[in-house]
This record gives sequence, structure tokens and C-alpha cells, in this order.
Amino acid sequence: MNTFKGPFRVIFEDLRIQFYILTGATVVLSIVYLIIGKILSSHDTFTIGASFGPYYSLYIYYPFLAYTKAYKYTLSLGGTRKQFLLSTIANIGLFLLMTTFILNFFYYLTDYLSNQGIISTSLIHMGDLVKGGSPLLYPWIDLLWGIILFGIGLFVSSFWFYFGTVRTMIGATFLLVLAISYIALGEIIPFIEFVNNEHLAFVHILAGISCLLIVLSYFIMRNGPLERCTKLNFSI
Amino acid sequence: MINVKDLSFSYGHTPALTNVNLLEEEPIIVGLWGRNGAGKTTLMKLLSGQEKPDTGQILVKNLSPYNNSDGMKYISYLQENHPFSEFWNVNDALRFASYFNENWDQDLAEELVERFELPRRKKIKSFSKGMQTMTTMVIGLASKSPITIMDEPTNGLDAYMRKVFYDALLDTHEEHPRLFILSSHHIDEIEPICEKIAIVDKQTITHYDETEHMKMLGILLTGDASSIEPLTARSRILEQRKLGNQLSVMLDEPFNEEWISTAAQMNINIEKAPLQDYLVNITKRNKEAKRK
Repeated sequence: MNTFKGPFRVIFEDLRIQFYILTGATVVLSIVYLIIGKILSSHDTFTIGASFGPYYSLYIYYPFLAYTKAYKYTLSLGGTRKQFLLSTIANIGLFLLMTTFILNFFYYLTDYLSNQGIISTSLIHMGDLVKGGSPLLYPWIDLLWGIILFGIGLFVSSFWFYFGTVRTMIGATFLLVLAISYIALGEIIPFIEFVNNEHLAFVHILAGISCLLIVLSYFIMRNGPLERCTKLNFSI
Repeated sequence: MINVKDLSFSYGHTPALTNVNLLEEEPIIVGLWGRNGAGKTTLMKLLSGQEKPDTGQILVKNLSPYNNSDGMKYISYLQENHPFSEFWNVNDALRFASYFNENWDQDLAEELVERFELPRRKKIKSFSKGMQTMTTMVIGLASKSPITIMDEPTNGLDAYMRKVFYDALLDTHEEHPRLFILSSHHIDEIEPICEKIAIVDKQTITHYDETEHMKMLGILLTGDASSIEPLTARSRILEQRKLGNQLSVMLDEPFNEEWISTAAQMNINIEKAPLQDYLVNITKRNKEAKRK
């Protein structure tokens, strides 16, 4: 028997429930946008909103959920920490592809109906910030943002689980102070210009950093505790 | 099957196990007895690869189980409060367990669900304590892992279901011999089915012996104080009660012919001390011993 099957299926089934809930929310949201677009039909097309919110939030919060639930089930049924981490990453990859397909299906549907003059609304897409003509650019941008958000979520949740809430808050405060100091004292205009002008490069850099955070999370949690750290002592 | 050498483990600066050694090659049923905080649960977590030893080594079929999927194939560890998802019913739990165990016996699982009268479609989280324990034990028995570790396997079960569980365990062990390690606070309950007993005390395994041998340890002498006192001089007194001239003592001695004939000569009543009382007394902590 493939020993990866158990951990993979535990995460898959857990994530599947989240997927159903959030797909329901995304479909309802997209249909509401289409209905509003039809009701308010006019010659001018206007941007009504975004439908990526539910799925994007999944990538951020799922790692926290996994550490509090699926992690326990996996280890108690005989899985290892490494299997848990690898199956979480593999499953998120799989669901990322599925959610990207669904999001872009609604995006292209809205775009098509708008071009046909049936509705007068369009959806916000993170790809709108990128200058490029490839039809694969929009799904690619969604994939990159999924990786970015999951990388941040996994790293923060791994850090929180391993080091505990207090030390995570201290770390977050330290980073916040650094960020505020940079904004207040540093030269931020070139950075904003870079984000605006080279948005595709910026998103790729963020995705690259997120991939590093995913690898770092693996190294933190492959020997992680059975339960979330609740101590304040600083010996690791 | 299991080889533990000089194992030590701490939670932060608090030692949980120190210098533990255990070797078992045979597929037998072993009882693990210890008082609260003795280190039983930690030992089981280490044996099942859930925790990493600080020092020493654990080998299960010559493989270290920690973070090792090859080693973990041979072990199932069923915790006292085994975690189940709030979405899972019995069928889900059995299905997921089957993905983790290569020797999984679905027919046995189905049979045990019937014997334990478990409702298949009800969420496990809504079960009583006893029913949750039964679900866990179905997984443990049907996993057919070469090494199956069960923490308090009869916790919450009524007398009838305890019998059903022990019968099922003996049946499956006879049909498919494997190493079972059963942890319990109540040695009298597991002792009849265990071939060996391991005593965990003061963060280590202090005794690991045949059950038949362990059962013969500890004698109770009752009679005239002046007759008993000379006999206790060279023995470790585990418990002592005096009422007027009458004395009752428990000694850390084997219940054998020598003691029986000595007691008869001195006109003293001799009995085998109950195993549970004997174990409680030999694992008494200093403060408790002084209080007595």
C-alpha cells in the first residue's frame, strides 16, 4: 500500500468540504453579479466586484485549520509529520488548479456576456493590473496569488504552531515596526512605481518568496510538536 | 519486534522518561501498568513514532518509527481519547483507517461494528464515551498491525462490552498473532489475557516480566504481632496495619512453598496479595509512603 494515501485522503476530504462551501459562495456571488449586470443593462460597462474573495481566503486560513484538525487525525491514524506537510501542499496544489478554473470560467463568462451586450458589468481580476495579451495570463495570475497566499498562511500557521501565540505576536509586531519605519523614513516611491509598472515581475517575486516560505514551513514543522506550543520560554 | 535502548525523553525541562529499556521479540499480549504521570502515555507516543526520543533509540522491526513511513507501517496506536473529525461517522473512520494500514481487515471491521452494536451513520462526535472507545478499538483490531498499542482500551465500556472486546481481541490474536500492548490502570482486568506485564514507575520501566511470575509477588501475613515481626526483619514491608495485638503486613516477597510452610509453623495466616494492591504499594511515592 502506498503509505502516502492515508494522509493525502484525510487532507483531501477535509479540503473538499471547504471547497464545496466556498464554491457555493463563489457561484452565488457570480450569479448575483450577472443578475445585477442584466438588471442594470446599459451602454456603459462598469466593474461590479470580485469573485475571488472566498477562494483566496481559503489559501490563507486553511493551513490554520489543518494544524488544528487534520494534523491530529493524520498523526493519530499513523501518518508522519512529513506526510502531513507534503499531502497538504499537494492537495492545495490540486485545489488551486480547480479553483483557478472555476474563477476564470466565471470571469470569461461575464466578459463574454458583456461583449455581447447582454449584461453591462465586468468582474475585477488581479490580472487587470498586468499588461499582457496572453489568454493564459489571467489564470496564471490567479495561480500565483494562490501560491502567495498559501505560502504566507502556511508559514504563519507553522510558526504559530511551533513557537506559540505570544512569540508569533512578538514576531509580527517586530515586522510591523520595520514596515512602518520603512514607510515613514525610507524612500517608498520607487517601490510603489515598481509594483505599478512591473506588476507581473512583482507577483512572480512574491510567489517565489512564498515558495521559499513553504519550504521553510516544511523544515520548521517536520519535527513539530504534537500540540501547539503554549509556553513562553524561549528555549527551542 | 520492539527494541528500546536507553531511551530518555523530556517535555521542556521536565523529564518524562529516563533510561528506558525494553526488548520484546514475540507476538504476545503485554500489559502496561503505571500510575498517573508515570510516563505510560509518553512511552506509547514514542513507541508509535509520535514523539522523537531525546536520547537512546527505539527500533520497531529494526526501523526507527519517528517520521519514518516505512517504520510506521508496523504500528497502530489507539489513544484513549482518539481524535475523530466532527464530520466522520463510523464508516468514514473505518475507511480512513483502512488507507493507513496495509493489513487492514475490512471483514473483521464489519463484524466488530456489529458485535459492538455501533450505529454506522451517526457522527462519532455525538457518541458516548464508551461508543467512541469501541470505534477506536474496532480500528485497532481490524488494522492487524504487527504492533498494536491501545491506551485504556476499555475506558467507558460496560461489563458486557468489556467482555465482547476481550473476546474479540483474543480471537483475532489467536487467528493472527501480533504484539499487543494494552495500557491500563486496572491490572486485574487485563492481567488474565496478558502474557507479560511492564510496570512503568518513576519515568522508567521498573519491571518487565511474565504475568505468571508477577502474579506470585506480594504476600499478606496476618496474625499475632509477636509472631510476624521477626519474619519481616529481612523483607521489604509494603503495607502494615495494626489492630491491638493483631498485625497485618504486605511483604515484597514471592508467594511460595517456603513462605507457606514458615507461616504454618508460626501459626500465621498467609495469602497472596492482590496484584493491583501489590503494584500500588511498590510504586508508592516517598510522600505517600511516609503518610502511611
